[in-house]
Amino acid sequence: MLALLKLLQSLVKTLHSDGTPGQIAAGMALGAALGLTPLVSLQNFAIFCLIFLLNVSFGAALLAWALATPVGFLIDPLADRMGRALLESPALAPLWTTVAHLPIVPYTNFNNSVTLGSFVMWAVLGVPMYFGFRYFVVRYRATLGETIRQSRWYQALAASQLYNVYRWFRPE
Amino acid sequence: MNHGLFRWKAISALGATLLVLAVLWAVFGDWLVKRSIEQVGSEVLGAEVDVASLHINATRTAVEIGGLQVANPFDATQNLIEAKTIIFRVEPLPLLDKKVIVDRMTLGGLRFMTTRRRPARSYAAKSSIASRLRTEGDAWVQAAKAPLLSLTPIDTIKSLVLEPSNLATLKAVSRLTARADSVKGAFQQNIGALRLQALSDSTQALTKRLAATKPGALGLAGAAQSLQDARAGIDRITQAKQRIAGLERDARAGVALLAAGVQSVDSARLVDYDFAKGLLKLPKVEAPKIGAALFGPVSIARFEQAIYWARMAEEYVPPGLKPAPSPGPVRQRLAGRTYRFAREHTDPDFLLRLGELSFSLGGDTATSAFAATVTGVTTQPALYGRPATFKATGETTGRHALSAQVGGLLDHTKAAIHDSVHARLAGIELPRIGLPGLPFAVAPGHGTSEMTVEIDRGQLTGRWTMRTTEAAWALDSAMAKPLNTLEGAVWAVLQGLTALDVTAEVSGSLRSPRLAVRSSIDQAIAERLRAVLGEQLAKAESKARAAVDKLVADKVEPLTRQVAGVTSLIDAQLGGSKTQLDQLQQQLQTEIKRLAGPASRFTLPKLKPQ
Repeated sequence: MLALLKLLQSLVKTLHSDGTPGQIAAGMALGAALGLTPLVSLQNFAIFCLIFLLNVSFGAALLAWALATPVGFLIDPLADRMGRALLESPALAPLWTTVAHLPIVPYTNFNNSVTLGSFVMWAVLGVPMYFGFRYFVVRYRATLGETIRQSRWYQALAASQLYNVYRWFRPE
Repeated sequence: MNHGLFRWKAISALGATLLVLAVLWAVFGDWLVKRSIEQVGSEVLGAEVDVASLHINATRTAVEIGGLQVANPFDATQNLIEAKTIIFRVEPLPLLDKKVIVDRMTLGGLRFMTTRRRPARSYAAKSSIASRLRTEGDAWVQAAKAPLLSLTPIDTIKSLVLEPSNLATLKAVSRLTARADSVKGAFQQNIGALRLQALSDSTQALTKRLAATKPGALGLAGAAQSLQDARAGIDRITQAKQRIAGLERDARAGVALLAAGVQSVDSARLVDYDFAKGLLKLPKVEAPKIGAALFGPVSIARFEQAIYWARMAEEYVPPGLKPAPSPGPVRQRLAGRTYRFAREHTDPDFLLRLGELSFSLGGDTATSAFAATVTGVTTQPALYGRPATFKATGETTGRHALSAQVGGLLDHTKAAIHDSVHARLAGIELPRIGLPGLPFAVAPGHGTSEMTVEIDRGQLTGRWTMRTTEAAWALDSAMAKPLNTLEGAVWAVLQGLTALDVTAEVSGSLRSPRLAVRSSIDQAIAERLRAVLGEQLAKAESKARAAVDKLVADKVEPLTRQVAGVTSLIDAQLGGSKTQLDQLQQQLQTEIKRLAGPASRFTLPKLKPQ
C-alpha cells in the first residue's frame, strides 16, 4: 500500500512539476526502457546516463521505470518469442554474428531472446509512448491540473521533505 | 526555465553516482563474483558449489579463489572436489569481447571425495540440464539393476499363485492361434480361387470328347482343331500348376511361421518358468547372476557418474559452429534463450589454455605428490580446433605406495564426439562395499581400481575393475537374527577369501547402455549354493514348472494340434491337387499322341501359346 501511495505521490508531483510535457514524456519513455527490459545490460547503463544528462524529467523516468517493471515481467514471454524469431532468422544471422564479435557490444546481451525482444519492443513503442505521454500531460494540465494543485492534500505533499529531494532532479 | 537538450549540472551527479557504483564494486565486487560462481556453478553441475574467498586482481587480470568445494551430485555428504587455491590468469583484451581466455590456471591442494561438514543442498531445478541428466541416469540405473541375491531358505516357500494374465505363454498361444486361423483361412480362400474342380471337370470332358473321336474321320482341319484343343487344355493345366506352385510357396511360408510360433510358445514357457521361479524367490545359483547381484549396484554407481559427466560435457560443450541456443542467465525475469554466433578463427567464449594441478590421494598428505595438466578446455571446441586433454600422474612410497595414472581427451571439435578416459589408481584404499540384500560387507583394503570409458559417436564402452588381495569380509553388525542355512553357506565361502577381483563392463548407446558384472567369487558361491541346495532347488524348480504347466498345458496342446492340422491340410490339399493335375495332363498328352499319329503326315499349324 505504501509503495502504491508513493507511486501516486510521484505521479502527481511529476505532472505538476515545472517540466514541459515533452520533458516529462521523454523521461517516461526513457525510464520505461529500464523497466521493460532486463535491467543489467550495457544499453540500460547508457539509458541511465542519458536520463541524467538529457534535460528530461528525472522523476518521470523513475516513475516510468517503476510502472514499467511489472509490465516487463508480463510481456517477457512475448519478448522471448520475438527475440527467438529475430535470433533464429537465417537472414539476420550474418548481422548477429557481426554484432557478437564487435568489442563491448556483447555486453548488451542482445544474443538473449528476452533482452533483444524486449528492447526491440521498447524501441518500436518508444516514439508512440513519447507522444502519448505528452498528449496526456497537456490534457491533464488543461483540465484537472489546477484543481488538484489547489487541493489541501497536494499542498501537504508539496511541503514534504520527499518533495524537496525530488526537486533536485526536476527539469531545469 | 531551461529547455536546452543537456542538463549540464547533472554531470556532477552522474559522476557521483558512477563513483558510488565504483566504490560499491570495490567493496562488493569480489563477493558478487563469488556468489555468481557459486550460483551458476551449482545450477550447471546440479551440486552445491562453495567458494570460501575470491579476489579479483585487476592489475594482474587474475582471479584468486580460495577454498573451493564442489559437492558430489550423487552423495550430498561428500565433496567431489576440494581445492585450497586456484589462480586464473586471464587475458585482458578478450574481456572486451565478453570472452574469458584463461592463459594459465594453477590449482593447488586438490582433494577428491572428502566428507562434507554439512550435507550439500540440492540444486537440480526440475527444468535444469543437471536434473534432466539425473532423471535419465536414474532410469538407466533402474533398468540396469540386477535382481538381488536372495538367500531365503526354500523350506519357507509355502505356495505359488500364478496370475494367468502374467504368463507369456498364454499371450503367445493367443497370438499363434489367431495366426493359425489366418494361415488356414487364407490358404483355403486362395486354393478355392484356383477353381481346380472346374478345370478338372472341363479337362475330363475334353479328354472324353477327344477319346471318342477317330483320327481318320476328322480330316486335316478337324485333327488340327482337336490337337489345338488338347494343347490348350494342357496350357490351362500348366498355368494352374504355376498358380499352385505360387500358392504352395505362400502356404509353406505360413507353415514356417507357425512352426516358429510353436517354438516361441516353447520359449515363452521357459520365460514363465523363470518368472515363476522368481516368485518363489529361489536363490540364484548361476555364476553370472551372482556377480551382477553382488557387485551390480557398486558398478552401476561408477558408470552412472561417468555417464552423467559425459552427458554433461555433451550438453555444455556442443560440437560444431551452428548457433546453439542455451538457457539464458538465472534471474528474476524470464531467462529466455541465449544464442552463440560463432565465427571461425576467433576466440571461443571460454578457453582454458593450460591448467596445472597438484593434488593428494587417499591418506597421502603431501599435496605435491600428484600432478596433473589440463589443456584446451573450452565451451566451443570447434573454434579452438583441438580436443581438451588431461593427464595426471604421481606416486608415493612406503608400505602402501600409491600410484595414479589418469589420462583422457574430450574431442568435440567435430559433429562426431569422441571422448575417452582411462584412470588407474594402484595402492589406494578401496571403499567398503555392502552386499545388497545380504548381511555381509567387504572392506577391500588397499588395491587397484581401474576405469576406462570411451564414447564414440554416441556409443559407450566402459570397463571398471577392482582388484585386491586384502579383502576382509564382515557380517552386518546390526543383524537382528542369526544366519540361515544359505547365508551360512555363502559366509563359509566368503570369510576365507582375501582375493577379490570385480569387473564390470558397459556397452551400447550412451542413453541406454548395457551392463555386465562378474567377480572372482561368483563361481565359488554358485558351486557352494548348488551343493547345499541340490535336491531342494530341483524340487522348487519343478514346483514352479508344474505351476506354469498346469495353467498352460491345456492351451498349448490344442494349439499344437491346430498347427499340425493346418500343416496337414495344406500338405493334403496341395498334394491332391498336384496329383490330379498331373493325371489330367497325362491323359491329354496320350490323346495328343493318338491324334497326332496320322496327322503327323501333315504339316500342322503352329500353335500360339495362350
